[in-house]
Amino acid sequence: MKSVSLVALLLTAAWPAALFAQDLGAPVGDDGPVETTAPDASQVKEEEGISFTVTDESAWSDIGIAIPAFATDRERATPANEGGTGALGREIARVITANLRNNGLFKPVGPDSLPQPAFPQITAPAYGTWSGKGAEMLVHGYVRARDDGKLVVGCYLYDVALQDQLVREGWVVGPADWRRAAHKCSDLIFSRLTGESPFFDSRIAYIAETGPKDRRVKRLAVMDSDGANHRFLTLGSATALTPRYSPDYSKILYLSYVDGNPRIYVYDIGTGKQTLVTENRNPTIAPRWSPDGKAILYSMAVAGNTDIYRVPATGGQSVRLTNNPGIDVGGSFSPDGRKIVFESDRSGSQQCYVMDADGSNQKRISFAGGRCATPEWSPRGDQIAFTRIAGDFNVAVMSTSGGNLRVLTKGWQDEAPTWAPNGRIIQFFRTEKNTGRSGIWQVDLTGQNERRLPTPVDASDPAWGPIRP
Amino acid sequence: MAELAFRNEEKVGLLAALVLHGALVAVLLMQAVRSEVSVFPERMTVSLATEVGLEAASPDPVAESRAAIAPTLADDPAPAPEAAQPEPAARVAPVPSPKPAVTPAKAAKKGGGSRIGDDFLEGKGASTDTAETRAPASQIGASAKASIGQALARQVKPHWTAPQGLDVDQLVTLVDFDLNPDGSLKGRPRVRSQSGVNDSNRAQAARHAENAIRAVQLAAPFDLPEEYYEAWKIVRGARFDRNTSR
Repeated sequence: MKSVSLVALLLTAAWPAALFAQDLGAPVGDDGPVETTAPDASQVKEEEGISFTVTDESAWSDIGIAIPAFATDRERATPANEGGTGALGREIARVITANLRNNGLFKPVGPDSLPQPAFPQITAPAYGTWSGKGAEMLVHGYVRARDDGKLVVGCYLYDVALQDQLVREGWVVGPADWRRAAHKCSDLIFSRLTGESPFFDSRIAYIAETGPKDRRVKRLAVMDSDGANHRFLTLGSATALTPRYSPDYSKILYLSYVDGNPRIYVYDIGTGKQTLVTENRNPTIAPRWSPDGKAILYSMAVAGNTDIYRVPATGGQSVRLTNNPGIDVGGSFSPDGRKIVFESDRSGSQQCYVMDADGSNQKRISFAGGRCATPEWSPRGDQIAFTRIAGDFNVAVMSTSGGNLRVLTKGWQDEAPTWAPNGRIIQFFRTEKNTGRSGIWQVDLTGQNERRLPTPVDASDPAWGPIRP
Repeated sequence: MAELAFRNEEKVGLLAALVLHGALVAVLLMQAVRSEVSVFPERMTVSLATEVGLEAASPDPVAESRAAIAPTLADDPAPAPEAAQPEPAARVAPVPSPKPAVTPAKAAKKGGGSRIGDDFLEGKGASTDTAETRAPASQIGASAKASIGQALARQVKPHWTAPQGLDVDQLVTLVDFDLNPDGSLKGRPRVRSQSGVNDSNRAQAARHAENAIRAVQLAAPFDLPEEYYEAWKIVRGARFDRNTSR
């Protein structure tokens, strides 16, 4: 009996041991990376199927967007609007409608001619109602006042035809910043439906012009991208020109004729303090920030010869980048900070040149006829905008090597182009032929959508700041 | 004196000639302006289907087709019309066998029918054991295929809009999808490939593909002839383009 149990014990012990022995030789699997393959059934077996071509010869059609008033879960008082959160929701929808209407891609219908959705409908829209109104896209949103006084704004974009939610996002803003929530929502819709980077939540610096032609008062002013929150920064005792926002919005570079000579000042928006960029008796013009905000490019005339210099933004020694008897002016950095495009008359007329950031390797890029002035490198890096002077002044773009020139505007005098932060819209100022009045205009890169930006007074030298965080 | 008068007439004539020339120039100028308005040709759709196919093709392909078989004529023409009705077996039976055409011969004797329409058995092939009478071919015909393709394109087009932007007319998206017999989508349409993407339109490329898929989704269910289901159940490389006229 004992021997039997011993045998049984041995067997039970040997059985798994034999299994282990077998296992030892066989590898469990190597730890190498797993090859990935396209999870597409058609790749596995090439099936033959029918094919067709469908084209879209129609003119560019605007996308119809319905933007009813933003709903609120319960009516509460808010400093942002005396009518409470419900009225604020309607106001936000109005701001979004105005933003989208003004760039030629959309056909928005605002909250004033649409029914007000209830709060639960924000996440579950009544598609039947909206498809009957001919809207392709639907924007819903809500406003909620928190106990700490801040506002929560949610924004949803729906495809009415597909009955599908395309994108949604929410923001917490202070009551004073409620317009920024509307701009953020506009940006969300714009970038989702066009593929472009956003640009509505940004600010614009420009020169406000008042007074008669011979005694024109030119003041530095800033405003939101839609013209709201307008502010004058200088009093107008000294003429101001060519403002440029710093990449972090904390400062503005501009040109001031305080003592009759053009000098470059840095205006600190927080403190209102102004500092001279270079302590120098020579006239300095055409200031530009480097993309990281650490350096400033400017042009200085020394003994009748104008060249481009670079100086650290905190002050310091200037470095001369061009060394040419001609007038070299208006350098603009490429977004990676490695190249500079500038304007020079060394060939006899104003043309655009590109050089490395240290001033070496200068070569002309504009050969397309006409003159090339005030070049600006796109924030996306693929294009250079400039003022093309061929009879009239027009805004044009070309590739960074000077090819593929396209004239975007047909005004009498359109000049000083600057880029929107997404590199797809160009801002410039247009002077009317007879009255001499000037205003800020915007045109997109296709040249098809042009619009005037409303300003309280005449405006010139617009400069777009980057998208706000 | 006479000379002077003549000169006056000459002056008048000269003046009239000048005025008329001026008028002529003005008329010509106006016409020149008018003719600058160029007339654009109207766009039309052209389908290129080959007239002669190198492969056997038919609108509705069958593997094989029955041979045409004529009945045997009787010696005496019979008047009875009811006898002209052949038995159903007569259509299956005509196998070339040692005892040829028993039933048709009988029928012919009974009725003596000579009217070819009734018991002349149609066929476009050489097979004797199938009831299929359509032309034998291995593939659906080019013209039928082309019209199915056009029907698909026609139904997708109203839903297809290319995104706006710089150089987006260079973007082309090829889409694959499968269909159920009722014309509805089997699964989600997929992007097979995309071409024409460059630095300027890269931002729109994803939107272009998304809109192409959206167009197919909105166009479904498709209204297509069900008897050709084999031809349209698989759609490969449907080409979405802003414009083919470039």
